[in-house]
Amino acid sequence: MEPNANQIVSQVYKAKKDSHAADELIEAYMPFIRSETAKFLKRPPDSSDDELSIAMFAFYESIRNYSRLRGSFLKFASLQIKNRLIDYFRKEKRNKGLISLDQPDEDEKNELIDTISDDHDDYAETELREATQQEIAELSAQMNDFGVSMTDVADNSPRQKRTLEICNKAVRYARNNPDLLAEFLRTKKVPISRLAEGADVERKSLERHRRYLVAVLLICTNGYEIMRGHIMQVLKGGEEQ
Amino acid sequence: MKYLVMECHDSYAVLMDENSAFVTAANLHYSVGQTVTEPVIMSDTHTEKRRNAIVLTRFIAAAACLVLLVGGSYTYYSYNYKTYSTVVISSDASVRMSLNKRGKVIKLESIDESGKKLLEGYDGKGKDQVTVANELLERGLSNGMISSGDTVEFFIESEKKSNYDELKSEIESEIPKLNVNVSVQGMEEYPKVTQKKPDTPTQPASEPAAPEITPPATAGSNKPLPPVPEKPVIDKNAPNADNNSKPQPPAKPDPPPTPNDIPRDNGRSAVVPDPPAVPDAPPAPEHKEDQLPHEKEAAPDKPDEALPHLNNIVPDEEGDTLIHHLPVLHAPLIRSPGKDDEPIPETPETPEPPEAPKPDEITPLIPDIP
Repeated sequence: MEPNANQIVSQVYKAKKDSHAADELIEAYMPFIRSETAKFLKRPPDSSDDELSIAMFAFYESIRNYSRLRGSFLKFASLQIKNRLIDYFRKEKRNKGLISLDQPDEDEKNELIDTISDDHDDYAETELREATQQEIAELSAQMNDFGVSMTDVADNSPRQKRTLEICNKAVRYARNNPDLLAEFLRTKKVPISRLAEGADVERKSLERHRRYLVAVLLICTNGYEIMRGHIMQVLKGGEEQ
Repeated sequence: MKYLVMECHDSYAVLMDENSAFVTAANLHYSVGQTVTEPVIMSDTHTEKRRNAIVLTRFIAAAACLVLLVGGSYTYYSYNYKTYSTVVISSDASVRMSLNKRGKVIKLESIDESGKKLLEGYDGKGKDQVTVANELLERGLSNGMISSGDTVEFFIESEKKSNYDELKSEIESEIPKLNVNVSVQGMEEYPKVTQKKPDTPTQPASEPAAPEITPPATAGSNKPLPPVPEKPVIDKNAPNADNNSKPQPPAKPDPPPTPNDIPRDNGRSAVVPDPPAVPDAPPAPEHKEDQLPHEKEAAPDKPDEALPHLNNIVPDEEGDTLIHHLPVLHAPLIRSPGKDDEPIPETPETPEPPEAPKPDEITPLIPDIP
């Protein structure tokens, strides 16, 4: 029992740093995650159930937040899964009075969504999504050259609004100075000193979020129009200045 | 807020919001490039920990401030307002000065009426104790309460010996400039000096008229006693029947009475003899043989000293019934000076006649027994 527990803990600590190891651990413990979800749903979960996705996410959270001081990992993960499912259940409860568009209409021939006039162009949407996927794939590949993954960026992203604003200020300064972005692409290093000096922000704040700045500065370079459009609000601020 | 799905894993997805912030959220069947709203975002334990740390830090800072405030206030109070030492100036007018830790006068109060007059219109608060003492003595000299050459007594009480010495040296060095004699003593001497001694002795500890046995007086009792002979007198023979008559110190000592002076009294004798003069009558050797076994242990060699009331217990005519005088009648007689510490039991249980009675000696004192 004890060696097994130690093995789990070592696997968890490995998965904290490596996203692939985390995926493998989650895959290995899928029966446990299904079991915990079934306890909550009081039925075996289907693979299409959001609750199962929430439970898997809660397991991943447990991996990230676990420490030996918290005792047994599986007990900790079980509690986390239960709490997450309860939160999700309460959130969904608020939307209980709403009718789903997927529900059948009175004649039970068509779904409700079919009765609504749709201005949506599915073809254009699919095209846009494919283009976005392509952009994101290119960005991921370019980020790999910088030794940064999307998960790293998510971990390194500023949490506080004030810090985020400092980083955005530096990004706006870089966008208004193409030579700075060119230097960034050429050297594959974030010009922290020039950014800090030019944007008049604290160098320390930028250094703490270096990997995040890599992703956003790459988006600011040519070739990522869709993503730039998504964060236009941030970039607009730069143009206004 | 719209989120762009940047990367998808089995259990989670990386999303980018419109503020260019990247977040990890539950992968609710998302695909890369999809725009989603209201994702289940990962709770940031680091932020929570940091928030808790900030709250804890603020609490600790507030607690530290409070401790500093309270500590500072207490220190200020103890240095300025707390009475650290007391000096009593005692002459015809007595005044008490309460000093703080810095030697400044924080309270000035009179002990007697003269002191009240002396302090009228004078405020010495905040001044040095020597200054106040000087000023008060000057006022006393000018008022005529103190004359030059008089002795003024100072009584000092302080928490620390060093402070006591300091105050004493200050007073002894400064005050004599006013041409008065200074006597500095500890505060423990103050009540002794001011206590009035009795001029005349009061009534004896136990009055014959009040036969109740009072608790024995303590050794340190200051209660004055009537003039008595040098040696305490214990009457072991004659009961004091006349409750109103007070014991008179004998002019000259009588021969020692024997314990069996009143053999068949049965406690009814009414004649009160003069207090005998000889305190220690040597007990007869055969006296112990007549004692009961338990009395032999309890009774000392000199019963007239330790248990004088037992000496009044005598055998009756048949020799086997033990008769004793009522102890209440003996109380005034046996409570002689120097014997106050000895408790007097109400009913002695172990009578023992130390010696054979001498009827010729007691005939005029004791009436015949019917």
